[in-house]
Amino acid sequence: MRTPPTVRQAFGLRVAAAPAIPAAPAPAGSRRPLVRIGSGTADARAGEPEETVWTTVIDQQPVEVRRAPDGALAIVFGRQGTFHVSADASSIHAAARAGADPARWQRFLLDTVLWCTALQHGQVALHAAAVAGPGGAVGIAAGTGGGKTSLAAELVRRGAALLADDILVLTSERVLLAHPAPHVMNLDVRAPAALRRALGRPLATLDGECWLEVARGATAPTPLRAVFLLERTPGGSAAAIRTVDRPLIELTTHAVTLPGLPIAHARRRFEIVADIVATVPIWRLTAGAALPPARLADALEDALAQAAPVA
Amino acid sequence: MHASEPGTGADDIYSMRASLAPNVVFREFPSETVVLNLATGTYHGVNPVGGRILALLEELPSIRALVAQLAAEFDRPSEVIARDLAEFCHALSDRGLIELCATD
Repeated sequence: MRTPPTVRQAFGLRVAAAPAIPAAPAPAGSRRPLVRIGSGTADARAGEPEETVWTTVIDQQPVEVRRAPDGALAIVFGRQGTFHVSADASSIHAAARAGADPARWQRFLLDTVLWCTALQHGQVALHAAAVAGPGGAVGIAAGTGGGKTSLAAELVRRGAALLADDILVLTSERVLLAHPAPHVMNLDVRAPAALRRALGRPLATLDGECWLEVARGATAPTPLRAVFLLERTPGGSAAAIRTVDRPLIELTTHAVTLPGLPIAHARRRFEIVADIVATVPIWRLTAGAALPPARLADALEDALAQAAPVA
Repeated sequence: MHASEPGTGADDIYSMRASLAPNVVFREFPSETVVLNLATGTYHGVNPVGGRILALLEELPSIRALVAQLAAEFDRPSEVIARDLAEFCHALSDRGLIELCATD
């Protein structure tokens, strides 16, 4: 007998899969779009013309995202296999190749495929980590390798709940809300063992990173309280907090997109980023590359303590 | 081609109506108004007065009416407002951010 799918929430979506996607909370309601994940080995879309819209390397695997004329996506993950996202983004077909590494496959689904699917649904996202505390969600935007995971890990160690490690989906209806991603983090294996134990349980070690499930994760969309643009410099012995001169344009540089999305998505992205700028404080947190995450966390918490609460 | 004095000449911008171009959005902030051409991804910043003009564009039937409104709001001579507004509108039009069309 087939196991019925279990619904979890991730990136502003409800995700139905059997078995359930790991490390993701139950949905807070039923209003979010539903995506069903199925699996198999057949390539259901063989022969359809597709345009390559994005190439990158993830987990040392070449990644290629192709878009069909009807908008469907084929996300090729190296030699591991391909995820097919339907044109209406209501389903993901996971076609693993024989011999695919289960841990890599699962991490790619949680860390990449799901947010691509969220964008297909019109969600707006920042390349940012985020944690939830008593005053709301705090976003930490930075490029890859910019230190947002380390800072988020320190804040979680101090008692915050993880909202997102790398991609933060935001909606702006009556309130600006930050939506939970799967409660997973990728920490350098050189991170202190005590920190890794304090955060949660390891799922796998892949390419010098410890992929772990964080025990303290946010379970519901959380009102946004502040955004920090994290900037690391070669030198410097202190963390500094400064205001941002042109926050809308700067914050937009951290927005995540995929080529081929309709122009309505760009409009929605502009509106949500503008709402963020109009509603919550945006600060630049600058720190030397060698400064430990604890010092950055101190500066961040001081800035939040001095700021007026968001109405 | 730039504006003649208000109410004169065949290429009279003041009798035209201005509207935001398709795929252009803007948001006003205290220090500036940010304008985005969604089709090209190009951002433009205008000062608060420019932002006020963009906000009024589609509320008023003509550039001439916009001149009158701004002259009253900012308590400035109409002739000064007219020249500055014509120059501003041509700049926005040249950048594809607004469209100018003849009124009926």
